[in-house]
Amino acid sequence: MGQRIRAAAADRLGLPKDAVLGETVITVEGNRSLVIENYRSILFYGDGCLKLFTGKGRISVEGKGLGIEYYDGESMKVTGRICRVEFEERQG
Amino acid sequence: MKERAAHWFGGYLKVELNGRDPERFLNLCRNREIELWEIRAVPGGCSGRITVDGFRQTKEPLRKSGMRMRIRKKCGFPFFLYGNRKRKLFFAGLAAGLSMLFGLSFFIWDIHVEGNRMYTEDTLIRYFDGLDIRCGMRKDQVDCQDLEESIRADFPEITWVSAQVSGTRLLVKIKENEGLSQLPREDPEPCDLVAEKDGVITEMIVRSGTGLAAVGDTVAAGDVLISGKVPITDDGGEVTKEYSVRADGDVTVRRGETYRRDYTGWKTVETATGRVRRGLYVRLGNFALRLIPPAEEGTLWRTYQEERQLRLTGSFCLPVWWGIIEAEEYSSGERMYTEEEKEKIRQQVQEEFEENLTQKGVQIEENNARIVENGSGFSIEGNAVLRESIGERRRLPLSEAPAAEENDRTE
Repeated sequence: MGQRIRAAAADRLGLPKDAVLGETVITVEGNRSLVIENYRSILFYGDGCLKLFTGKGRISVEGKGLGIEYYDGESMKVTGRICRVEFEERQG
Repeated sequence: MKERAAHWFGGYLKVELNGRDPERFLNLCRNREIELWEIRAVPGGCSGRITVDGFRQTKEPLRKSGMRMRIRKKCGFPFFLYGNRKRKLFFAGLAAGLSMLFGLSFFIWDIHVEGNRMYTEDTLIRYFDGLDIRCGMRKDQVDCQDLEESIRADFPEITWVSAQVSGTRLLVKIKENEGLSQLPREDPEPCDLVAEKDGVITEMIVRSGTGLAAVGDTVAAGDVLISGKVPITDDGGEVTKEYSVRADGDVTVRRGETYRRDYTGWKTVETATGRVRRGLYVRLGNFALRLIPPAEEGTLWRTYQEERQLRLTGSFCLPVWWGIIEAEEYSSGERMYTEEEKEKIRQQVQEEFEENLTQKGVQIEENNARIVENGSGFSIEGNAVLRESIGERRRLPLSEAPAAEENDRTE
């Protein structure tokens, strides 16, 4: 309920959803780099796959030669040949 | 870039992580704000870079995640210093170099002038030299305010000036007056308007004075076109009084002009052989060094050289100038002009003649040029019909030029 009110308020007031609702922001530059903001933790990291946990589910980045250029509490920059970005919503 | 420099100065380690749960290790490091970057997946784990401080805090995350960390390489300034701790002369040289730079930073090594159009940079730098402001002087001896005032006083066309010392550079920005600084003062003395060239008058407007020539008249150089004397006649046509004025008017004549330019029949041709010598030019203050392979005797070379000032940053200039020297070999020979080349020269001479006159405001009605061959060479001969404004002022003799007011009084 609270989430819905906050979403409606952000919509009406034109506030950024990443700040109000903690939504994940993904910025993609071609297929060579990607910046993910507002993630929680790293679930899996390998050469061809990176799985992250966000507040609302999982994000999976698939590709080849994936590397983490930097990561901190706020954001993470992924480089490599990115083929797919997938969202998996949390059940319940 | 900033972060890279910070990592290098602080020192960092290239590490390899092996174990059962690298993801947990990465998450634990993130929670403890341990900086890890450039992480790559490798068989059996991952590799990355970590700060020295971060490395000291990884004991617990490693234990919890069951990982092992191996140092592959130590990078950065602290490790560089440690690795070269026995090279005392190197560090002594480095310290001497840095002290020299520090010492050089107290002097002016470049004077730059901006915004000048009428006065060349050379003129202004020579002027600064006269004020004892030159490259190599101490920065604290430059009084910018005094310099600005001197420029304003000595160059009336410079309307705005700003001088500032930035780094080891003296930057002088100026703005010149775009209009006329002084209106040309007309000579108020009575005078005639006389022809300075021969021609046939095509247009004539008299503003003051008495017109002595008319449209269609042929005038010669020295003829009076408009007289400065204005006679007052009575009913019988007798001159009773004569005023002297400053003759003024516009007189346009049509006149012919010939021109000629002579050429020898032989043309000097310089052909590049394709051989090039390159070298380096270095100048330290007044001492210059040119490093270039020597030329073989009897060969001809055309040399180009550029000079650039060495600078650490945009405004930190040093008293070192350098450049590349490039010498191209050429062979010189003579041959006869071809017909096409002669025709090209003819056109060029004709165009130059037209351009010179057009700039002076002369209209060209006709312009013909031809090539005339003579024994040893050829010449370009041309004749043109021009329409131009003539008339120069000539003062009336003193006895003939009493002022109009004086005439009134004597009457």
